[in-house]
Amino acid sequence: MIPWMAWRLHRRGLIGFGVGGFLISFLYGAAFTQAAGSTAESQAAFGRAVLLVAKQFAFIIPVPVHPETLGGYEQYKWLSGAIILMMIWAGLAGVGIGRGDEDRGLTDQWIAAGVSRTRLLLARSAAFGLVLLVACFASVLGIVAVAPIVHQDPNFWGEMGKALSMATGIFAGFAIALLIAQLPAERQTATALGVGALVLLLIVNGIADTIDSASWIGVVSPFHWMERTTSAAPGGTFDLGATLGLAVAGAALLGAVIPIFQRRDIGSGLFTWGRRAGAAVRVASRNLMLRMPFTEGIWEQRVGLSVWVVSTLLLGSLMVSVTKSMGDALFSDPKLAALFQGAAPGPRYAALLGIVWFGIALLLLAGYAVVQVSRWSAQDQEGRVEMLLSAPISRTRVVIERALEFAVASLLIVIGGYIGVASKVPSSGLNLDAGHVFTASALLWPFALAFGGLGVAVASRWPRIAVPFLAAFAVIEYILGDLAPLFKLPDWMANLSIFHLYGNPVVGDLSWTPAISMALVFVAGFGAALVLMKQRDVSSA
Amino acid sequence: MTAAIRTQGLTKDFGGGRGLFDLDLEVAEGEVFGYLGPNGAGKSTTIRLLMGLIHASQGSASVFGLDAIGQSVEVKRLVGFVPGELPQFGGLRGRDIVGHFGALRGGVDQKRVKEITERFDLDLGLKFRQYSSGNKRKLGIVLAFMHRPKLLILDEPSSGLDPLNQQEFFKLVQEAQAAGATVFLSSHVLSEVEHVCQRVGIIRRGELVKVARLEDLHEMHVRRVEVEFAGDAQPHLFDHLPGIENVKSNHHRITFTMRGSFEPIVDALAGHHVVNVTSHEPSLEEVFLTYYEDDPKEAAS
Repeated sequence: MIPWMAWRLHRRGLIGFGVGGFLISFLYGAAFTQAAGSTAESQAAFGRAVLLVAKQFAFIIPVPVHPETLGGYEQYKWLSGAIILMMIWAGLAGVGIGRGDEDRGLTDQWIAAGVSRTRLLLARSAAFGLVLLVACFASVLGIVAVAPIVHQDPNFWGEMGKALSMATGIFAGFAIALLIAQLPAERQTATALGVGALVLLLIVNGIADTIDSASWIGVVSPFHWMERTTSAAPGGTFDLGATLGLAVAGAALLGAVIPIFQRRDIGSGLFTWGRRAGAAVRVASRNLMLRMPFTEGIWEQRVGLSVWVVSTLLLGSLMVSVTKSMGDALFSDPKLAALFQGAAPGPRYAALLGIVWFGIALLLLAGYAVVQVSRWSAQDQEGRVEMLLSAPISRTRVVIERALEFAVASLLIVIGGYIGVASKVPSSGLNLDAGHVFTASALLWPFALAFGGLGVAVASRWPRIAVPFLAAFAVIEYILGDLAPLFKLPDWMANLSIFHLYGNPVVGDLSWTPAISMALVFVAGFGAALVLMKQRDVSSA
Repeated sequence: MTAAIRTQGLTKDFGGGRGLFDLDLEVAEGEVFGYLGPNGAGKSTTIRLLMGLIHASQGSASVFGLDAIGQSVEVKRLVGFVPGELPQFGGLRGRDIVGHFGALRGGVDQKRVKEITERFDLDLGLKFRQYSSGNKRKLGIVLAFMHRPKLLILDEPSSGLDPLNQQEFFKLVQEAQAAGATVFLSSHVLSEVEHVCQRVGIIRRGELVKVARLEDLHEMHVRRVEVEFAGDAQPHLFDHLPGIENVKSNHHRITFTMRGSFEPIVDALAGHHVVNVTSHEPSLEEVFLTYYEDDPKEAAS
């Protein structure tokens, strides 16, 4: 039962994080000597540079250990990010198992078939745990596989230890989300609280890592205990106590879920608030947002969209405020300054802001595109498109409304980011050109549109695979953009990455080519969506 | 007069013998037409073709003379639709959903919405996910009827409604017809269409096997016959007799359905010690089932 559940219910995650994890660690490993050079001296200099820059990001990603080695570099460059991505996956899986199965009627069916609640919960959790374990091991096996090619230590047992630590820590995160999912009345609230709690624990760990007087609060975060194992780097440590502690915590949290799951009603949380009292409503809403074209979609996602806009605004502001200190530290060493200028030419602080903020903004917008496509995909599969087309509106209008909805929503996020950055620049001491900051911010919009265009095309014809497709596409594009300079790929090939195409417009003269190219991707995607939507059969079944 | 619905050779082939094949059907304006068939017979496929949601492999479908695919938007201005399964509207409230779909149709007739929601006791203030399956079905009925469409296409509309609400729904359909609307109502339950339909079409395995007025179904020459023997029943006597189906024997008694003349039966029974022979008109339900019973599995469903 458990292997069946693991494959049937988590196969996309398994393929994405397992196969994808292996390939990404392999690719980053293959690029190691391109980035660090092949001599011990150049690798040591590279390690020092990475260490210096990494200290500025310690809030999100832990300071690397032996980044001059393949394992240390991968632990910093890939595995730290992979842990965050997998933790979000675990959070969604925890809520999905806790409440999503109930919404889909699966829990009813299993219980009706005579499976006890305890057995069901344990079997579903074990299935996810199995998939997680495979994905974690696959993510480090790419390092082991690529090591002989780049003449580095495969560090097999160290990598295995790191994978084990990751699996236990992320499983503990899964159990936290599963526990939280039992409490609120509605699944959407459970999702927000479950995933939100894991993000909070990431922030708590970041505070503990960067503020000495608050280091004690890190003990509540699984990220803290995972960080204690650094064995992916040769010479790093495997913290057996921390790993065992995470395993015990995961099991204990799972044990705490069982009585709650047994007590509450299927389809409801442990805490249910009283239903609305008062007279029944017998008339339709007069909300203008529901009446105008495309604004219904904006209205429906108003809370989530507000979170995106405000988060982007705050993050933009935060990143501008740390760029000066980061640059001061980096540029005080002439060798590192030269190394940086070689990689990112132009005014130094502006170039650094381009990497520190606009690089992150690109990832945020690609992430938003995936979220939006997942919304369309769900609407299609749940029969919303079928119902929409039962009203006198054309398929063309459905596609146009999606495109407009995405364009407006992504523009709001871009504006939020710009306000955050522009409001902080004058007091940051960065001496940036306001026009360049505006241009770089404005170009984020066609970047988002390019992703949205592809998303709307795929979602119009193949809604079931639209999310994994766009997510995989975003990862491939990012890695291509990241590795293209290291492998010295020709421009035409590097520009296949929209991330690379965007470039670093906060420095240098404005070029219309990237903006036009990205807009063309949007137009092409949108045009394809119009054709594909017309041809397909719409069916929720 | 233009037919409300007309299909010619309409085919949707999903492969493996599944789909809809060569459907020729005409529903007159102002008629309430019942579209009957077991699960998976092709009812929803027909409806999706009429609604322009899926493309025909062959043939054509038109609604009030408008092509169901090419003039899909114009068609749907005239149609009210209850899908077999209402979509998930998640956190939207009932009033938001009605407001949104009303706006897509050019405006909401609040008076009409109020009238229908009161009749079905539906609270539009609740979030969609808080609705029971019956209330979701009622919301679907509000969305279909609120703009007084010329044609109502209803896919198993009363499933999930309690008997009182079912009665209310049948009244609504009758009122719509009285106001000049045409109704195309699909169901796998005869009793659902019996209340309101003038004609029914029976579909099985993607093929239309019968179109008849309800009273014609009653009048079909299908009889259920029971023969009681003095000794053991002898079912072999009826082997290969024309028009004899569903032969069942039990000790001294044999039952079967028959179409056509009694003469072959009388000939077969000659010389045997028969105690009693009874013949009666089948109920409408039994007539209906004879079209399903070609496949015992479908009859059971």
